[in-house]
Amino acid sequence: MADRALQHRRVHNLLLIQKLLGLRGDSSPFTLVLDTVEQSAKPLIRHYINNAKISKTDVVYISFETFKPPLGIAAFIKTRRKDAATIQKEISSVVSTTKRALLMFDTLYPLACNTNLDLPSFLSSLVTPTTSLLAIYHMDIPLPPPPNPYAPSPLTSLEFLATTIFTTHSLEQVLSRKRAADKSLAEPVFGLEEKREGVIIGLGSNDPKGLVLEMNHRRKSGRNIEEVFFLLPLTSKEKPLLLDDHPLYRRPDLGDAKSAADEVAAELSSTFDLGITAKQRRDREGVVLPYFDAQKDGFGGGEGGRILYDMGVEDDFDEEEDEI
Amino acid sequence: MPSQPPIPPLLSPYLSTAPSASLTLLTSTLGASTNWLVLRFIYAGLKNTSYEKDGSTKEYTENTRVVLVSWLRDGNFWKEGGRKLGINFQKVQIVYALSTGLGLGAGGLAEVETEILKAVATAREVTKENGEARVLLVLDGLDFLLAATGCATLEIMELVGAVREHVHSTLLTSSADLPFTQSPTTALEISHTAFVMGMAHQARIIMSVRGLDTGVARDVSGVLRICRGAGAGDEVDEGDGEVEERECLYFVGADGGVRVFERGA
Repeated sequence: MADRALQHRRVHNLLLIQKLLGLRGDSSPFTLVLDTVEQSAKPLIRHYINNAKISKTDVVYISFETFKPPLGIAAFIKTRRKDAATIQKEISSVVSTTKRALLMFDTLYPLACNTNLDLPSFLSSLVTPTTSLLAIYHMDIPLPPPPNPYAPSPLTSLEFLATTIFTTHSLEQVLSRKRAADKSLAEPVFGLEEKREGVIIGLGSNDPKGLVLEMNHRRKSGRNIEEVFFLLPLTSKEKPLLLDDHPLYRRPDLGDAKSAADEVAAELSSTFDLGITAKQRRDREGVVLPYFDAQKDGFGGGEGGRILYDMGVEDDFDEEEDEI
Repeated sequence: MPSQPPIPPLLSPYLSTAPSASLTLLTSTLGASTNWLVLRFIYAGLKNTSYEKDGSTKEYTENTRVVLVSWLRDGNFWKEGGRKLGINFQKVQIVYALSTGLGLGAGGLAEVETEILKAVATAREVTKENGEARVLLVLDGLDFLLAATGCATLEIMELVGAVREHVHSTLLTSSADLPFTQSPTTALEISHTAFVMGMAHQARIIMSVRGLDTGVARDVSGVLRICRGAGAGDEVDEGDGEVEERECLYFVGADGGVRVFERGA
């Protein structure tokens, strides 16, 4: 049963992440990427830019901290010492109304600092049916104290607004946390959390071999899907995989024991399987219930229900006791 | 102790020429300064030598000039330390930010930008005679302006961005003492943390020096941690050298010679 749940996750969530990264359809109008200096979101951005070519989407890169325009983008907008209105004007001048476009903000910090700007409404104003938005927010850069201490922080509002939230983690750091947790040891901390004088970044940061991507996708129905993926660098040409499937994360010896324990727990909680397979569903739909026959005209219409029974060879019919 | 080579062998891969438009961030604490590291970056930059991973060296032909702007030390300090290493100060354009109080006067940050750009232009003019211009900009203690002028972090970051566009690569030092980076509360602490972390997000390499966690030792000056910054991936597409992370110890001798070694070595 645990296996089937994992298989279900594998199929559905991997399809979902490929749909999101591939910009297929209007799957996510506003994607918010939360990163830290431990694991930058830049490798994720490269996946998006690469896939945009395939899905015929123009990438408009709005640069606050990037100096070299990434390869494969349609437009590169420099924002230094420009106010929000000017940036907006420049964006609208390069975005065409007919072709799909993806606006990419490499950091929201300068905009979030601007107390005269309502960041959520500024960003919402950029989203159109053909234009979607992807913005990186650096979690480790503190904002200056807001003029109104009771107002929610820009990050809080953005999290409400976003249709997909990605959080990036360094694989090496995730693995060493897991190794400690498996042994019931205190989990190691990295970077600023080390609380060491002079340390701003931890070892194992920004590994070029791949990153751990935590996804929180809100469907239109309101249901949200959470999953943790391992994303390989673009050069490897491999598709993303579930972190649980990563050979270094999954421990096969423990994994089997764990799934067995899961099965026992599942059996204890219910004596039967509430789920239904596709074949069972088809069979169930094929069954004709007696009630449908009773509704037919000329066959006892209005006379109330009647049980119809076809006699089989195995039935032992007794004239005296049984009647039809 | 025999005299040390100007560039410690362990450090040579990191000091070799940085890719264009890259930023290197050095952070220091009160007990561990980055001055020795800055001097070695200047030395390696002027040497026109790139150090390969296998320890061999490769000469390249571009002429490099250094523009050094320091808010914490005056020109004599750098010249004295540099001479011991053998840095040719003809190739170093020093902007006297400390003695002139650059950025503190009425001109503010705009003045800083014009002064730096002027020095960059001068350095480039000199190089033009010998071929392609290549300027390494060293901004030492820029975070001092945050405290001294109370300007917004964003203004300083925009200043860095504006001058970075005019040079080949940039080396920036900043202090990263505990109050300046850990759970900041006051306005200055917040803006300082924002500045350091903002730069870390742009940096290709982050080198942090700090004192020994276990206290003071006679033969160890401190710990050097070298990490890939968040900007490390910017040039991966072009196949530039990967940065190998490392944490090692260093010792600055009385003669200014520096030894860098692994823990336990």
